[in-house]
Amino acid sequence: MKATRLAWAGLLAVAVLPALGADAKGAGGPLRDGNWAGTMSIGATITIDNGSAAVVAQGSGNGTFALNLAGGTGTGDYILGGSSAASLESSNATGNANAVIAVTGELQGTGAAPILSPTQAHADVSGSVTVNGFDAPFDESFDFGPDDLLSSTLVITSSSCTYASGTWAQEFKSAIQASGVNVTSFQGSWAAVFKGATPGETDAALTDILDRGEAVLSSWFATGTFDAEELENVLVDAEHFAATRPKDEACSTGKPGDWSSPLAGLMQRILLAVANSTSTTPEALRFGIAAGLRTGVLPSINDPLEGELQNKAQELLDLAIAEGGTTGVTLIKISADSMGWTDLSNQASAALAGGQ
Amino acid sequence: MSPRSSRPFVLTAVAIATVLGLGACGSDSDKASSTTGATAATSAPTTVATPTTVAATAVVETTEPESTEPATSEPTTASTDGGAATTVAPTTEQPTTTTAPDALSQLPGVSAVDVAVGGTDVTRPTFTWAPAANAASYQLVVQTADGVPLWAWTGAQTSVVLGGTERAADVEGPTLVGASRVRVYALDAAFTVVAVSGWVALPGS
Repeated sequence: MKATRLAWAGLLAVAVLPALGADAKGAGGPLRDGNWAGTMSIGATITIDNGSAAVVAQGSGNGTFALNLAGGTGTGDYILGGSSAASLESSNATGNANAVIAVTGELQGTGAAPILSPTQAHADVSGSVTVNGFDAPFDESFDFGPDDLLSSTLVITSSSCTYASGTWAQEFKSAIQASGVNVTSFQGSWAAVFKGATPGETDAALTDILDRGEAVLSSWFATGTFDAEELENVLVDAEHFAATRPKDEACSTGKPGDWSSPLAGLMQRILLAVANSTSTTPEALRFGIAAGLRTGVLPSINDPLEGELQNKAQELLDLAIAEGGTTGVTLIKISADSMGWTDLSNQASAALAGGQ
Repeated sequence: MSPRSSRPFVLTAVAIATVLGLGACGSDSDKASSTTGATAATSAPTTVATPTTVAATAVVETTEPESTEPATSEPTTASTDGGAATTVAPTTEQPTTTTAPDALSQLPGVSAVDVAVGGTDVTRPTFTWAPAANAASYQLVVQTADGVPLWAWTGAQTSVVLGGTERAADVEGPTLVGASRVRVYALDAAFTVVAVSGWVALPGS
């Protein structure tokens, strides 16, 4: 046990990351002054394989935050709860561990880049390891201070008078990869509602929507099953939720067409996966692009997302034409027409005309 | 540390790290602290699987995008097969579709869809169309008159309001602010196109 504690100290000593700079600017523009009540979710899958033993862990978590912005400077607090399950497989040993973790922290940074700065965390871990037939259960608790924990910037994907959303936990992935662990996925989404001059509770419906969306994405990464029907349900619920809150009177500067979807951050992550997966199909591309347009993530400005999707569409079109089928070509043409990718649409039209 | 004690340690560490993100390399914080929206957006999962709508498929390794080069969004030119559109009075529900054929509408087995535009708010119209034979789902796309994408929708219903749900005037959401157009595609259960409309012009506000 002492050795374990020492190893933990060593691990944590190199895991100390200072509070992040407040200069980072989100792609969605800064949040306006006032109170924002938000929710955040996270999903992760990481693996360690040294050749003789492999550890696979999957985790998820969610939490809420209250952010006050005054003169562009952020203050507030947040809570985050999570759980994970890890399994060990080797030639002479098997094992499993389940962790339940609670984190509390402060909101810092600016309206352009709010920062989740953890102040303390507690983890309860239990499980067992079987080595050569001998079973060794364990049940331990750990406490962490601010110097042990990573801060994370709330990167803004989209923001408006009433809603904002984006991604977070990018720093976690970098830190874990730097320690030699393979990270299959490690990123989170967040969404927030403007509450005005006085703080308000995070909407339970918003938390539910984000959690369900995160579950769709996590399932895709973990099992390869993409539940488009459930994602469509989440999109519908997000639209109904967004329709319930009138625009604050103090936000008269917004143009009539300005709006933001609470699911923009999550959809951005899904679209990045669609654009960069070697297994994306023409149907997945079509569905993803439609969902991206539906949530305002597309057309994208000031980030590489749209270009990456267009490259993927071209790649899929070339493949579909080479295979000689029309279904893939038609689906890519729908995607191209939807996005206004004229050259790609014309290529698809030519292929369809030539194939008749 | 003995092997028996190291294995619980590894499991414990990984289990906690999976949620807390505990890792190594303090210098990484500098990299992370300068993350912009654009670079953060490239932090896509490195391994994803086929996003099909039907069944599970094998997980396939992908390459994590490294490029931070901003993409150019140039969806300003309409497709050459879009054809001319007819302006529609938004408070009526008369089918008003374009007649110009395109590559999709000329495919064997693809029929025409007539889209009606209604509703009392011209900036947030309701689109309605008749069910197409063998259609399992539809995709609706709204663009500006010159082809900049504004909004899209997928679903099994044959009517949808811009933005997906009715909203009061003081609630933000997709809103037409100028001349726009809409088009509907119908797909069967195997995602084969079975019907398509032309672009229908929307007057906007």
